[in-house]
Amino acid sequence: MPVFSNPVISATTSTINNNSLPDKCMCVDGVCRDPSHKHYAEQQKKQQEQLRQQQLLQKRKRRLSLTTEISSVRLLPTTTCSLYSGSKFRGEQRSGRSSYDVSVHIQHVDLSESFLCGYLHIRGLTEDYPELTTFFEAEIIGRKYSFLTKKWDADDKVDIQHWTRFQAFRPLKSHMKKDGFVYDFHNKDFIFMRWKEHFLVPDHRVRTINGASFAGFYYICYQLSTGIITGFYYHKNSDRFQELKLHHCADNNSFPSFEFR
Amino acid sequence: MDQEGYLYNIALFPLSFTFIIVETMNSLKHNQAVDELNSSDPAVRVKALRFIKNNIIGNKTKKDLYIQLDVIPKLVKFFKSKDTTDSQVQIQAAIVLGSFAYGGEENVTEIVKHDAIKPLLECISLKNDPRLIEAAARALKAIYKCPTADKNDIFADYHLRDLITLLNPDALHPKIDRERIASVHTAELAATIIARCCDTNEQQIQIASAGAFPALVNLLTCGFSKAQEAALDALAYLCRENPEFGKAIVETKSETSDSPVKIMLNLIQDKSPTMRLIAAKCLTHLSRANAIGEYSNDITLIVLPTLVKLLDEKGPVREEAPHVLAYLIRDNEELQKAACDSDAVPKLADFVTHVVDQESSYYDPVGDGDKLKENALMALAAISSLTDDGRKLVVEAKIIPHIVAAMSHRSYGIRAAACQCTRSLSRSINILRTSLVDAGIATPLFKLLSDESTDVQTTACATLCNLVLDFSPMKKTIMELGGIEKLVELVRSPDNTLRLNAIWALKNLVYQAESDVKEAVMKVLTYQTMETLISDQEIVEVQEQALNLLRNLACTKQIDIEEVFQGLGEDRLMNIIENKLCWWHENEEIIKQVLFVINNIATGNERHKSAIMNRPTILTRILNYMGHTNPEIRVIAVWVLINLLWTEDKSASMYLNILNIIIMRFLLYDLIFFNLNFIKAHKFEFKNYVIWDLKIK
Repeated sequence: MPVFSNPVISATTSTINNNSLPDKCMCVDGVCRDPSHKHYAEQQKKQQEQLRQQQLLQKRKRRLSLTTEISSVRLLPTTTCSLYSGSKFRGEQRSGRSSYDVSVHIQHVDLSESFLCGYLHIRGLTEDYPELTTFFEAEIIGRKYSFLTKKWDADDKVDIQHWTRFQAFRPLKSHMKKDGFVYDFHNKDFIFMRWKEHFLVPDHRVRTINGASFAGFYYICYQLSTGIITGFYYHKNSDRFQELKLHHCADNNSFPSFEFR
Repeated sequence: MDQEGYLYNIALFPLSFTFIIVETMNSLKHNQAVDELNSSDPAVRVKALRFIKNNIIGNKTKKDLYIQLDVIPKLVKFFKSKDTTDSQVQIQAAIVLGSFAYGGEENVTEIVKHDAIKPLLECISLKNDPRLIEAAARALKAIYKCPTADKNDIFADYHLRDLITLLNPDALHPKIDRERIASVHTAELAATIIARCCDTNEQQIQIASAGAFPALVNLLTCGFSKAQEAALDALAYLCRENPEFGKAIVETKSETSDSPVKIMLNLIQDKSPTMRLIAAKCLTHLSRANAIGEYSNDITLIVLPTLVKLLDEKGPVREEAPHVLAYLIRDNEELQKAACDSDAVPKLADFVTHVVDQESSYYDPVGDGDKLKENALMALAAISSLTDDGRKLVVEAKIIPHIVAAMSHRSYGIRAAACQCTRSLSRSINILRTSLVDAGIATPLFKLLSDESTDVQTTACATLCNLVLDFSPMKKTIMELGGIEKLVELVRSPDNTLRLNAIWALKNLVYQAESDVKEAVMKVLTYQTMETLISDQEIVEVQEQALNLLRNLACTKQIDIEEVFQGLGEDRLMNIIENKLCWWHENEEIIKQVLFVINNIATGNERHKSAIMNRPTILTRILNYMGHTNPEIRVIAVWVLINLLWTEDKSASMYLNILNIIIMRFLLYDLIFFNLNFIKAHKFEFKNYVIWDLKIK
């Protein structure tokens, strides 16, 4: 199968082909504005070369100043499948016989740090707060975070109880406690995470709400091929196995982007 | 009564009179000394010089007095004379000039004003008396410490060659102990001068070509600590940001055939803190220049902890250590984590919170409080730049209120460092929404966009890039303060980095923004300016950000896409796209942004889609990019196709057009189906718009 590193120009298309370009030039004042003319092509190439030379010269002359720069790596956005900034999921959280509408809006994904974060929005959880939104941060299970939580009042027994509720986890169960076992989430259909809510949005200073709490965390399993998220909320004082089930909301396929500086 | 009072006054009269007489005689003496410099008798001149020298040593007032008496030009004149019997005069004159130069930046400016540098450089020529060479070198060392002194003269004639020869203590053929010590001292001075004249890459190249490396590496093993320190310093500045020279230094063998790195790893454990600091600095610069990759363990286990421990020292060592630490861990996650694990953060935080503001003194041996604060802030900014753990540590040290206060400090270095710290912290959405907004950082930061120093403006603008993001509660505040207008003003700056940061901030600002915000931005920026930025002549990164801005504008809602069509005009828009696709194919970041622009437009209405379809060049290019080696580019190209094809009206002419292109162009037929099969094999479904991760194995 052909794979090119530089795009090939088909001979049958009408424009940008040096052999069949018109010689008649419409240059004004030595500057060519006709993209189909060869002068324009030369001009563009020359401009790029000039840019390169200029940058090299500037670099040579520039004072090697360290005083104002502390970081020059790019923090380019990372995504996988439906996990990207702006991605939305919708579904519900079931607790016993009650169920609440839930929507999740992912804000930032950083796979190299095994991290993502977003807003979790629940409807109808309490009478006082028909709409509740929290900000959560995720630990993606992989090289950085192990299946064993070791915090948030969840011991190994609790971990196994919850992870095994995911079908996708069962083949991994026997490996889980082995030393040096790492689940590499790259190129797998399932991604496991823990989601921890940290504060309420918009006012992060509100610490308690009557009848609701975000002191626990979610065990999460996300499947790339279906865009479905399942999860179980855990807190030592809460009802067990409140289930979260979300599916990815198709957006209109237009992709804006931001980047931290 | 009268008589007694009269007697009283008579008694006092001689005392005050004596006082006046003595003072007048003293100033007469100084005047006389300056006058005697004009004497034709060399002995008189030498005596006068000695008198002046003894008066001004360690005495700022006397230094100022003599400068008022216009002594400097007289001293400089001695070097313009060709009379060799004046060597004693010249030596004394050089010593006196040196003494003045050690008295502060103003004195140095005065000295430089009277063209003292060139004659002093002549003095270090090897044909001169070694004592003259030493005195002149000492004066030059002090002069070059001043950052505003012009360093170009040293690169003319044979001065560099002389300096490098002087790096060898045997060059002056010392015979007795006193001479040997003086030679080593001269070598030390020469090395320090070299260290202070390596500001630019060009200067590094010239010094290296004159043969500095072997001479400096040999000086490393001479056994005299001050000279070794100076040699380390010079090597450090010669390889700063210079991978080629870093490697060259590492491969230079000393006379004792020890590797320089091994020597440095030895010196970093010296009992003198200054030696440890400079050795750490040299190893840091080598490491940053990627010259000592095989020593990365030593960097983590020896250099980093050394720097952290040096934070316990006093004076200049304590001030410089954070600066070196910040540079060492820059952009290196492993080292930042190691720094977090050490107790660096609490110590650095202490400097920020507890250092008392004082009048900074250029040559004060006690230390420069401002410099300490600035470097500590920079180190904290570096520790928290890449990891959330680092950021949490810095927040827990409770320095954010001090960072806010530092934004209005009189020192521009501290203001810039405060911005860098904020910038690092603002990379965490959590911290943005909590600690930073609670500290009210938006307003003081915004003010710094109009700071008198470009450095401060640039770092403030970089920080603002993160504060204007969608999830930042401070976005609204900044817009209300006139953020859009200010950023657009900065986007026209001739300073490349400032311009880049400004367009970056605007791009982030319109990310997922409402239509009225996008409109407000473009009203001030104008499509014309955006177009100019897309073909920015200075740096490609500005072009990339401007395209990203366009991508974010023509996005999400059809009215937004239509707005771009109206504002730019369909032809101009398509011309920009075509130009970039055709002539910038070597730059993958540019291509990615252009493809996303096309993709976003393709999600618009039929008119938007046909604008693209009517440009066969653009279509051909897109189809070509579906076969690009970079999988990210392939994915975007495929998305463009999906969005173009996705229409309810399958009989529409443009739908048939694109099918025509696909089917009739056999060359590309395989490509499309290759991609479609490839995609199918990875569970792609057109309907659900779910794409599997197309990573290369």
